[in-house]
Amino acid sequence: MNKGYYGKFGGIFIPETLSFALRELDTLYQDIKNDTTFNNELQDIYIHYVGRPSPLYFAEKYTENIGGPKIWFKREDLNHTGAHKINNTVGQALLAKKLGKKRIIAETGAGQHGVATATICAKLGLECVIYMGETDIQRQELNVFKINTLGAKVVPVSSGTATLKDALNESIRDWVTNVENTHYIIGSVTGPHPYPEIVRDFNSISGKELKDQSIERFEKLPDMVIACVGGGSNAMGVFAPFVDDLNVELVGIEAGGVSDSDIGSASINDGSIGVLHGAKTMILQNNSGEILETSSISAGLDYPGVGPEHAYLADIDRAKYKKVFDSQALDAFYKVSRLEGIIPALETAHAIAYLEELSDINKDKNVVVNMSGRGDKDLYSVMSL
Amino acid sequence: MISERFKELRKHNLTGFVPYLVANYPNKDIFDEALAALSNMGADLIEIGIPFTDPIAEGKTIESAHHASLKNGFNLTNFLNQIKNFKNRFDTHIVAMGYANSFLNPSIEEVSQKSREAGFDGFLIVDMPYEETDTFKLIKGRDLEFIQLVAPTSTQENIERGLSNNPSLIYYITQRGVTGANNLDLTEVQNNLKDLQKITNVPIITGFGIKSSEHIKAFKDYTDGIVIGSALIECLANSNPIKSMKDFLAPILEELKNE
Repeated sequence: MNKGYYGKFGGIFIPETLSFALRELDTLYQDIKNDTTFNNELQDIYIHYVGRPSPLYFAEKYTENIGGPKIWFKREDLNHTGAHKINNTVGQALLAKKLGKKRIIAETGAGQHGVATATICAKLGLECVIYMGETDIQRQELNVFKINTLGAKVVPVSSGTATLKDALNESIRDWVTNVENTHYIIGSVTGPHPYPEIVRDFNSISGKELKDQSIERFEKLPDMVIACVGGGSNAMGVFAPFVDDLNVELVGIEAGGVSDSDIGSASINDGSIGVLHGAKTMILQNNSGEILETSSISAGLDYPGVGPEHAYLADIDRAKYKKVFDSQALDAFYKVSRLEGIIPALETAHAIAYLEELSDINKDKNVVVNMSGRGDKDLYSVMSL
Repeated sequence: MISERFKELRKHNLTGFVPYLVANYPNKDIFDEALAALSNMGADLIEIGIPFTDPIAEGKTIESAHHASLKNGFNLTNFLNQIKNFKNRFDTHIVAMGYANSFLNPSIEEVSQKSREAGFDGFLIVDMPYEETDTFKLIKGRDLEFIQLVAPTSTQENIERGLSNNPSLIYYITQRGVTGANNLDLTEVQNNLKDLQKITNVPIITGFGIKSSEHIKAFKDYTDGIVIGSALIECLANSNPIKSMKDFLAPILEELKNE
């Protein structure tokens, strides 16, 4: 099998100019990932800066309300900057330092990855440029202000659909131009090899903690782990340590948009195999291979592709991928706020909405939702609905 | 064959003219006219960009042209019929240049087969890495040639990996950046082209940001062909596109022929 493939998905579909940078990154990462000094440095940041481990919280009232299995939340929303995204950015920023690269670029959709990148760049003294679609800039004003406050620069992207995929295009163009002094921190388990592997590994801290916490709290592994999937980094992080535990059911929730007649953003449910942003994966495209304009109430899920490893897990039936629509996500957003006092990100609300389907599951079972992010950033857009 | 054409040029110490157009940009009629005009002007090879929604290696000029053509309803099947008509009238070599996703739908075999039948001589797939050897074999199996990109950042090891796929032509990218960028370092390009010729006998065309006779003068002794892309596309956006293109190309062609 070719390098960087997960079954028939993955690969390194990039212009040749970037080839050496990806090889350089791959070589460094393979050397460093088991290096004690590097991992100690990373752990130190995770504990004292990010605030790890994140708690595993028993959602008592939600459990009562659903009337099925015991429902638990893995509280990635309590991380510094309010989402799982920081797990990856701190890891990659440390890699960038090892590569001797002092300039960081990143794309962002909801703005969480932009904030998480700008945050660690401030701490480590790295120059930081964030590409963001103009549409997203409008719906995520607060995060734009946060990024600027952290001393990073936001570059608006107006081409194409002016959302996450176009921000990714612009980031790649910047990287092609400045590849020798710049590291590109991709924010999801997408893109060319080795990114899907790197982003998965850094995010898998949540899955590893969850494994230990499950044993501690209910003396066995969870029966089901649920996470929302746009590119799929929070899901891949929480799934990865369980992939070989076949009794643990893994469920990814994609954004269906307004309704079934809408294009939405559910690349695995509604898409077909193709190449986008460096990887062969499931993508939303027309018959000629042009990428479709996606939609979702949640900027972070509004992306026409998905990480190649998710496409693979779906293909081999190891994980299942379900679709939740905007209105269901919004209902869950309010419900979890009122029942548990936790305002979730709209992305996360998609995963929570799926709990409504689980009332028939036995009360002895334990279901964990990865609470990937908090909802502060979405309050403006929910207010304006 | 493209490779033979360029070997011939090298034998006679000539530098080929390789214009780039975006399929059906600015519209079908002007595109057809431009294609015919470039053939009549003696193009050795014409690259035809297959419009894609997310052309990550393109600068603003060519990206906008891709989007404009898609907006006008570009469709590959219809376009191949257009190419058939062109090839009935001209024997100019043409390659389809684009992004992997346009070539994989529904499959590389089918797109190769139909492109060959329409008269395409080869493919240049910008984001198809050297590692995808099976894809290159399938392309060649349909009697198409392919062009391999080499960048200023390419390592010798990687170039050799690419050469093992037996490309007909190497396209040397002059700079770190997107098409049409303005970061040309003339001496660096000359040195890299010299180094490349030490590694391989495969003919080399050179492009990205080449837009003046001064550039041609600097590169023509080091390469077998010069690609003119963004600058041409800009001409086609003007109100009198064909004339503007011809006027722009006149000094460039003169410089190319100048011994």
